[in-house]
Amino acid sequence: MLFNSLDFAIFLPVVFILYWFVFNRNLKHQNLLVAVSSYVFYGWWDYRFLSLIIFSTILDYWIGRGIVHTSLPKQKKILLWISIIINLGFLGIFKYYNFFIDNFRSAFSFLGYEINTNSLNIILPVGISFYTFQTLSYSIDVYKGNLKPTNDFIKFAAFVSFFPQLVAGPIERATNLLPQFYKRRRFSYENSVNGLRQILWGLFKKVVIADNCAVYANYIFENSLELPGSTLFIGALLFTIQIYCDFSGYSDIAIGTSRLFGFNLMKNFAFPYFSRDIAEFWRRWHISLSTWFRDYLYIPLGGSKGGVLIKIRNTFIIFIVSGFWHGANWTFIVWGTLNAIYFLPLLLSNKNRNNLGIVAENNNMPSLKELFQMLGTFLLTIFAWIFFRAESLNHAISYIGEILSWSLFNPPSSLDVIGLKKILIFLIVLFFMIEWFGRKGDYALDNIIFLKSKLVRWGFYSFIVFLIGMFMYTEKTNFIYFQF
Amino acid sequence: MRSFLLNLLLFIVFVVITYFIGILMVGDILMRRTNANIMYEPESGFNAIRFSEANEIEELDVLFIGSSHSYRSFDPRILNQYKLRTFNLGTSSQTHVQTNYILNEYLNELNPKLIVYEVYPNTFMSDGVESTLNLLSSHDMDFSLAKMSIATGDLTVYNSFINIISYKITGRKVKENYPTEEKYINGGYVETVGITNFSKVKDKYWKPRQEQLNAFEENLELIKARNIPYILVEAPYTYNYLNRDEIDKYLNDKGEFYNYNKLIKLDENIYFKDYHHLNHAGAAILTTTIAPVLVKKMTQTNY
Repeated sequence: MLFNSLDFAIFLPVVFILYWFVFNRNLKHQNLLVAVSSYVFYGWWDYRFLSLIIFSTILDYWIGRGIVHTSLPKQKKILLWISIIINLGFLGIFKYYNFFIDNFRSAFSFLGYEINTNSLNIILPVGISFYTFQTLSYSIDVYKGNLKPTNDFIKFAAFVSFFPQLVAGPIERATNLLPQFYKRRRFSYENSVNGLRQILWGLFKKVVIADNCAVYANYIFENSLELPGSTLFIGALLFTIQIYCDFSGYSDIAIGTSRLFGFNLMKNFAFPYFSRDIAEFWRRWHISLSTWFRDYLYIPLGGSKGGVLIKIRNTFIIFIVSGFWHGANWTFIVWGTLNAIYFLPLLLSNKNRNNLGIVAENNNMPSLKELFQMLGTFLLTIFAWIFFRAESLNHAISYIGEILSWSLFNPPSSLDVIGLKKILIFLIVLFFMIEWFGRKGDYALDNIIFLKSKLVRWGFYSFIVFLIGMFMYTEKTNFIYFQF
Repeated sequence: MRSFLLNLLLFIVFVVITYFIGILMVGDILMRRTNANIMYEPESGFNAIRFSEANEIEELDVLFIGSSHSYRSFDPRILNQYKLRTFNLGTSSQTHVQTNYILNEYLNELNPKLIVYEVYPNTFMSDGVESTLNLLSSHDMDFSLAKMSIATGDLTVYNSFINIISYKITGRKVKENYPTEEKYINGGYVETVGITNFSKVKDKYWKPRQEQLNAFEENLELIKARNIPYILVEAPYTYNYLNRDEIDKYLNDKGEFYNYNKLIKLDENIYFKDYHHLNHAGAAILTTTIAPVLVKKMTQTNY
């Protein structure tokens, strides 16, 4: 079920009413409702893949119980590895099988051997990378002793399948989300209003900004061979905006929806395009994944402790794995590598923690230095996103080649052909202004409460609703991160 | 919880009111200057004039219904020479869902002796949004039209619907900008002079929507229930459907079917306005070809 669909617009109020009016007296019943609703939400897309989630749930529940009931460290370790191998095994089969087969075939072919292997026509289950990492975090935390394993299967099932964040995150840690299923949830007026506000903003980002940018970005990337560098640069810029609004829009709707049910999910984005360097960008972009890799991969590998070579190795590992997590394509691996190259100089010169606070924290506008820092970082991310969006490495290289040619200085006349409307530019500028002035909150409208008059606040929300109604892209579109 | 629900309800009312006001104030500007989800000015088709003429008709022999292929293909002046009093109630992109609305609105009043139901295969594949917008902009608002608009589930239709209501409230008139090379002829026909350069389109598969098939069959039942004879007609266009046999089988099962793509051959460099519409010269040939069929059909049915 898509957040930006009529199905969800009906589903959400129905579950909300059942949750607070029918099942509110009994925590167990409420948790059961969450689990069942989550399965309905997921099964709406393809009910056959529910079996995968249910299998993962049973497996990790059993592993967690097994780890706590055995006193032998070796057995605990074996159980953990069973969880890791099976969970990543599923991910490997559904997401990476064809990639490895195709690359093995190409490698052998290059060496003069023809091997007879067949790619499979595999459907990638929506959100598999997200819930796999979520269940894995549970097993690892139980193994490490950071979390007491649950003995309540319903709570665990609800935690794994929690519908707001099931298919595109935030990737919740068991240590944060699971305990919330133990506490009796009380309805909070402020939290719910805040949740609705965040849903509204997320929806605006997705259906107005991201989807409209996508129309042009898709056209430009698909016809890049015929377009001048200046237009290609605009295509990359629009994709940069699209991917942020698409993914952070989803996260906003997920977090806002969770608030309606009395849950608090972790923040996933913190205005990353206002970052002053790449290290800051990565502290602000897809936080739940970055911190997952930090805690479960980077730190166990030694993190930034040790010699220079260890630091370089670990940085490359974490960024390349992060790229590969996004998809089985060399473009994602290069995207990850490129970010590692951006990040390394900062790490090696100990400047990676220079910008920990919010930019221009006590001012309305950034200083000239901050402005240049932000623009520089933004340009680096645009450049990297080209690899992320391109169909293949050759496509990305030819795309960048054209941008770096003299045609960058040609007027982007072809924009007339694709009809880039002034209104989109207005909407993008408006969006960035709202994000800038709201950057001190958890999301852009978080601090809107500063508008004392309720009428003015409601007027502002109505304005956003009006923009959604007028400029929402009306074709049904998936969220980009569903495919990861 | 109570105050939350109460506030939410109040907020929804507030949003609905401001949304209406917003459309009332800037709907026209957004429609003309941006690609906003609002559209209610017809680009062509002369629907408003056609509906107003339909209300004046007293006696009718043949009623044409269907898409723009209907109102651009059959010239009433030629049919008059065959002593046939005809009227064309085709509207732009009219799908079978909208045909159903038109039949319910006009069949009793017009009481034709024969119906020519134009069946361009694409209309079975369309969602009907464009046609609903055309009706909204050109027809008087009534409960059935409102119901049909809501049933589209389309945001553009909803916004346009609100705007039309605001037009009614404020007494504004919808602007109609018609192309200079087109002329409305009494009887519902639109005459196009000249040939427009056009690119050919590739042949395609016919994949009808179930709701359009249902509406089409319902329309035929509606006509049969009034004992009005009908024929199904396809006007010429410049491409083909890859599963043509399937279309022929379906339409032949539903009634007496004339596919003029097969029955006459027209040079696409002379007789077409664009890749799927005849110009006036093409329409004249088609009308002259179909006229004896209509006369014969009228005679057979003892009128």
